[in-house]
Amino acid sequence: MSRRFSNKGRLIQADKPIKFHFNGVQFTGYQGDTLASALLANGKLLLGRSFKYHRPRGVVSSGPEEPNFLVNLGKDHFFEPNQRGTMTNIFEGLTATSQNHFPALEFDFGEINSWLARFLPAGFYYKMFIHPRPFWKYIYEPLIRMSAGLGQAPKEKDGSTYEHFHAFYDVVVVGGGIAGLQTALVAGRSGIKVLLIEQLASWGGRAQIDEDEIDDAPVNSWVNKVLEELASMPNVSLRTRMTGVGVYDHGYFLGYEQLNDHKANKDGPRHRLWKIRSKLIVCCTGAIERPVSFAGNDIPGVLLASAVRDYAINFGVSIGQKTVVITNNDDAYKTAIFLKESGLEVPVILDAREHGGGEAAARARAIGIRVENGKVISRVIGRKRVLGVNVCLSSGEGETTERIGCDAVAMSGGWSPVVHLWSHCGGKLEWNDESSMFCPDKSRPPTNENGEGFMETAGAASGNTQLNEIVKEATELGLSIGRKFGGKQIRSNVPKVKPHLENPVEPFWLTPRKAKRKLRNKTFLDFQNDVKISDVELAAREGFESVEHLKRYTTLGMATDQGKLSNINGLAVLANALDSPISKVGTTTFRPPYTPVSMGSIAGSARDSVFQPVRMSPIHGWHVEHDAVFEPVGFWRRPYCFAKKGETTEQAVNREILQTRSSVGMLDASTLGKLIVSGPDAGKFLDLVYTNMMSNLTIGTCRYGLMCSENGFLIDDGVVARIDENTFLCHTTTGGAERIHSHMEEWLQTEWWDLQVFVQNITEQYAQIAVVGPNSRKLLNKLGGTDISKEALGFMEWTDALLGGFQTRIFRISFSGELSFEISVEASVGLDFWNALLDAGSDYGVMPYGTEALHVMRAEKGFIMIGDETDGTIIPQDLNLNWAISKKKNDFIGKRAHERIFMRNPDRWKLVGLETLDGSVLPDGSYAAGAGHNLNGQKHTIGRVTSTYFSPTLNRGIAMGLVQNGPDRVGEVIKFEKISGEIVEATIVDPVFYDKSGSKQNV
Amino acid sequence: MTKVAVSKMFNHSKIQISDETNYLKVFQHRDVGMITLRLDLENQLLKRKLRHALGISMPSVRQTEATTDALLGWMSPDELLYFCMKSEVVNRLNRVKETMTSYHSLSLDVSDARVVFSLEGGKVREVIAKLAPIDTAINSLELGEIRRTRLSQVAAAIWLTEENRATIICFRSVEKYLRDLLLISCKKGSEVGVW
Repeated sequence: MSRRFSNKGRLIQADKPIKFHFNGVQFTGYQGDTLASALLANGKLLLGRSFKYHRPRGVVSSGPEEPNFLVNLGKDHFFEPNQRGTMTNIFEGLTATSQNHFPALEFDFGEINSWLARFLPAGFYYKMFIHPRPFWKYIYEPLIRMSAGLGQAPKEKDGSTYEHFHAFYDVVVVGGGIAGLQTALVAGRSGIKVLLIEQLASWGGRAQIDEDEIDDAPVNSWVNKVLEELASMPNVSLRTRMTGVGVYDHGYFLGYEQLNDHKANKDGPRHRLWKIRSKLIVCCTGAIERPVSFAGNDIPGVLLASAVRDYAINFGVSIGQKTVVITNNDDAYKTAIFLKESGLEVPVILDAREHGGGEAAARARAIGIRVENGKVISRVIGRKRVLGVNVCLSSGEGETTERIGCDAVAMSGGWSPVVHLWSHCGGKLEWNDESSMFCPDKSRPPTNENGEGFMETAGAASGNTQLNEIVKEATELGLSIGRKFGGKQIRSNVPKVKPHLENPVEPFWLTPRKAKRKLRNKTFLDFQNDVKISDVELAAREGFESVEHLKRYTTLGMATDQGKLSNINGLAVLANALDSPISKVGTTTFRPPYTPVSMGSIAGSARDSVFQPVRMSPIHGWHVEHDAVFEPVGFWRRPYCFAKKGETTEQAVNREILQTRSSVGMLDASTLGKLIVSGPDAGKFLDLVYTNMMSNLTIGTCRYGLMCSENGFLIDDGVVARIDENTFLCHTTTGGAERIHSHMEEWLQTEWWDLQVFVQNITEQYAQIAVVGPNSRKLLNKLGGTDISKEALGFMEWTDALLGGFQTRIFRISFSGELSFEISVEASVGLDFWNALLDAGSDYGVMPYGTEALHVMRAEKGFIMIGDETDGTIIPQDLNLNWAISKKKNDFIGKRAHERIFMRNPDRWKLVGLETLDGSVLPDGSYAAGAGHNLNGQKHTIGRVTSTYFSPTLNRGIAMGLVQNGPDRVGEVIKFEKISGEIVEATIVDPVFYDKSGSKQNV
Repeated sequence: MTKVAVSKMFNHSKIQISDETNYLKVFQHRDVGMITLRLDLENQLLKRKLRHALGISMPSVRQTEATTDALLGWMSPDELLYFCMKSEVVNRLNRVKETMTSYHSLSLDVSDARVVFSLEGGKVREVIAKLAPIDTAINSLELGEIRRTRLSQVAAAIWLTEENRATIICFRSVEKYLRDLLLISCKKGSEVGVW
């Protein structure tokens, strides 16, 4: 049974007990404990269930690579699934529950899968769930959805806050172990700007556990000395609890800082995502120990040897009383020696290598530990905990030579450098046969825009296992970085470290080497996804020879741990099955993030009121106070209608239209884009940008214009006013201002740079209000101050005038078919002017109307709307707008495209009006079916609805649509289909439904 | 001309919008006049004339120039933004128009198109770095240097008038967004503490 054997763990404060809950039971741990160490200290070994077979699982590692011990963490607004217990520090009041079991962790029905394991081989899902076809939708998918997933999905809104931070450094050093500290120290001394980050709460990495001395002092005093010097450098930033999660092009780097995951007090941001630009990233990310592949290697109580050592030294926690150590390298001896010296039993060290270990083995023997060379575990005895091991020859088939009682197993299959970050942006790896690991190929780093490498590695991440080599590498790298980035000349000595005499690691991808099928069936590679040796071998036999295919077929390395423990063992087994060298099989692609990051940190502060910028007109506040129903138009929010109490939106829209058509209404048109185009060549430029002629517009008048892309498609429309000889004011659609401004700038800067034209976006300088309806002139006359009679201000004219004391610009333009004025004032007085208009119009029952009334009224008049009648494939000719296309001009954007055969095809769908026979409203977007079917067996279509409304003016449904040869077919009845399949018949009519002569707007 | 750290108008009509839960003081400014100037900034003669007309030096690339009652910022290779008291805009705009009349140029009153915020406190640089993808470190972002950038999701321009004081302009329509964003970004408890 696991327990706390000592209160002197390196990372815990035994005088600070902490209470927390796991699966509803209260436990006590100490400040500094992880959830894993605290539960182990309380004798809890069984901590989770595996994904596929629901096998009992305990913690296997002590770090970010942990595949088994995942928990649902927190409650309600702070609930989060799939949190690694090995990386979660406990705090007062922490609550966690284990995952993936029903009804209880100790007794799980899902474990039946484990007994069915022989019927659930690799690719089972692909093979099984395809037959019979209908079963997928009704049986398989619901069942899989019910059982899939590890943790539960959060149900409440996230109660934490998050933020981003942008930072710039010469060098980012990732990893605060000895290599990282020394690299940062030496580089920092040169004065260049350095960021050093460490994923854990404390500095120094594994060396404080595994090594004796640096510079003749204990490792931790060396670490403290270095930290002191680093902290004194103003050019160096140090951050703990910050993980390097992603490397991207051009030295862009993501750091994931966890600010209060370890605290009971959740005030302040929980995570901060650092977006870092650096000239160089140094990967000092260390190495991860590999499990050993023997039968029963997943039973609770079987841990990585380094993890057993970590729990003992860091937290004073032993996994068992009697720990068997199995290894293929010298490193695991340290675990055995520490346990033995701490008074715990180590019945045997099984060294798979025939010739055994070096210096460390001699030391183990000297303190009385039995060491067996050439022996391995054939299988572990036990189900929910280790009861003993069967021992066999490492080269054999697994015949048991001896059974040894124990309650824990410490395994070490060698170490794999953490090369993830190196690989994210294309750094290459090379297989090192001597050390049996994939190491960064330093001759092929990820490269920047100049083709130069922007990453380096140092320490165990480079593949170094000896500390004396690591400090030498780090020192030299630090010096070269300082020189490279213009730091001052400095001298730094290589810290003194005594080398160890170690025997080389010997790969044993399967133990014993010729293990029988029965053993291979119980030998796990990927603990989280339950992928076994036999699954990989089956996949290889079935032809999945590429490691990428193998991964997807068996799910090896596809779980939340992304195969940090399983990848190398898995691909080695594949290489073995294919009889191919490991270097040829290669690894799967490493992609960011290195470890999971919260969704919240990606969003940063963008939530609630700052989720997205909402653009508001100067009159927005009034709309809010007057119950406007808003709709998004680009980033703007515009009133859709103003619903009175007890009124539906439809009723409100109808009321607004009838009021406007019969008397007068007001529209906040401030969101329309306003671009000033100015300069001696402004007219010439606008002739090129618009399809119609603008240069001959007289000062004081307006013209409706169309703009096309170079492919001839309609991109925007609006009214252009000539202000003076050199200046035009171009109105764009709402939300179109920025796009059209860019469009104009692009042509000016890339094609017509010789034209003397300035374009300035002044959309937000003005509030613009449309006063619309037969009584609009009367209303404005009540405000007084200027003559706006038909004679003084004709249709499509504008004037600058004082109106009721406001400095205004009045445009006599109409988008509704009524007598109408659009008046702009400076934004800061927009609301005052709006209120003045409301006051002046009270006698006429003036009321504001929203975008829906605007849409209905323009549709009644047959006016097109960009985005309704156009969708990026429509040319002006499709909309019968030939009158707005100048034939006199040599060129304009889109002119040549209009000459293409397809554009001139007489069969193009063209704009018409549509009137249903029964007066109903056609569904938006519905298609009219023609005769016959296409190659896919679908009905031919001959037209579609682009705008459709109920017209209160005409008291019937009206619509516009694009119909093949439409204008030639006026009077014909065509059939539109509803989603239900029901047919609606509609007559093709002229698109102008209301006041065809235009007499109402021209009074 | 020597740089005057803070123009008077940025002290005028400012309203503090932050409270004790913020670790910076955040202000919103009223009555700031703004004039957009479009001209050929390589025309030295025109620049000299403009300097005389406005009594302010012409800023070099990405810089601002200030006098006690005005500030002139470089916005792009052919654009400057002039700040003065709003009551002065008509007068100054006329002066500018007169000066530039025979040149291809454009000058517009844009006082209502943008809003002005300012930040005050010891950690101004780090709060900007939470929102803008620019290097705000002391050796990188100089005093008086104007950066047209983004603050989270909206376009903005920002410059430090002195070490602990930044001025920010953004478009009027996103005033509420930026106000909320600035206040959230300097909530006590979210200090980064790298500089």
